[in-house]
Amino acid sequence: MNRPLDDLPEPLLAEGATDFERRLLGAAANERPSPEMSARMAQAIGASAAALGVAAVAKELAAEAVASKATAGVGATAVWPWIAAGVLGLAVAGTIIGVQSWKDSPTEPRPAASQTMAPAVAPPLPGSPAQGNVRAAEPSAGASVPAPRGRVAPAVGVLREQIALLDAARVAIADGSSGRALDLLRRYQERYPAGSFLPEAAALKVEALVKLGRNAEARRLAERFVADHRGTVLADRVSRIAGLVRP
Amino acid sequence: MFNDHHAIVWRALRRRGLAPDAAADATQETFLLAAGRLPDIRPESERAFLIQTALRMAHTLSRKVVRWELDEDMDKRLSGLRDADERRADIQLCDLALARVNPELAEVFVLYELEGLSSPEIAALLEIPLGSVASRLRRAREQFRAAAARIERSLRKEGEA
Repeated sequence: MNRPLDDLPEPLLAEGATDFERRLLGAAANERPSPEMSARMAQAIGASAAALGVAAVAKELAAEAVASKATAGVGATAVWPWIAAGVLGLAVAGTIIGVQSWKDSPTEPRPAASQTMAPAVAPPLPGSPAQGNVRAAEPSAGASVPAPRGRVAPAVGVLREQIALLDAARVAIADGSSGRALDLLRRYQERYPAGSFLPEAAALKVEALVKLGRNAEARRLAERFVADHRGTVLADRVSRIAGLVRP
Repeated sequence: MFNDHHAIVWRALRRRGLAPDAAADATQETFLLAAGRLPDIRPESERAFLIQTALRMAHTLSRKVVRWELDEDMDKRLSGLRDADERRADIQLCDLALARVNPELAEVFVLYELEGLSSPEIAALLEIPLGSVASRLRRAREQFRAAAARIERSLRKEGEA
């Protein structure tokens, strides 16, 4: 248990609990979802159950969806941390599309009202700048579990190309083919004008431009990006790449 | 993020009275909600954000979640628990005791005693003053320990019978 010093008494488990209390608290503190349950959750939110670490997910997706047209050697290297996070973003978009598909499908019964999901993307809430923190997403009053298991997967399949395309662009940058990366990123923006990863695509574009020595262009794009995404991890990264701030 | 934090999110929901499957569903939904906010979440505050979201979700769901009503049927439930495997029974007994604790106090208790969060972390996460964390924890302990003692006495009585 990793606990910084504070003004609270020692936890009961460390000091002062009876044997019975320790037994109860210890059992509850160590409870974990079964591996099967973890895998099911991961799958439902769009991450591969086989790779809760995301590098393998990107590798699989990139190889599967885009290899024929994007690039060889996709997925052999590490992915950006935000691509990892992006798998979750895919799940969000996937869920939205999944819900939409119920509306559109004449053969699929719509879920009962009690089974409909909360909006996957909560409206922004004011943050808590003093703590550098972000307030938690607010479930809607009608939010109800379970989320529609199995509905997310097909939508994620539709969206796989997005992440693969971006991964291919990243690999192209790493391989020194930044011109090719710009082509892939343009294709992404044309194909997915409201894509889940537009910020990531813009960040990659900044990086590709810098690699090509088109620094003024990169800087302009970076400044716009940082203004639009101020305070985010991605904005920090873009700032560093474009030389807006020194690392 | 999922790999690092899904267990604690799931556990936080379990301690709020959700069954394992319902907690898994709510965990899933918590991560989906978080995904929509990814650009806004600082890496060091991911855990707090997720737990906060999960607790809000549990609060939203609370009307639909049947928590054990202890005063009347604790004895009946205790006899049922004897059949469960020991560890699972201990978890259920812990939840039984937690269900006797005022929910506001129980949140602090769970985050501190079971999840090892610090006082400032809990204060930030629950958006309460630091002093309230200490006072809630003190009262939660009193309630939890009284409930645990009662459960232990009941079990002993059953063992003697």
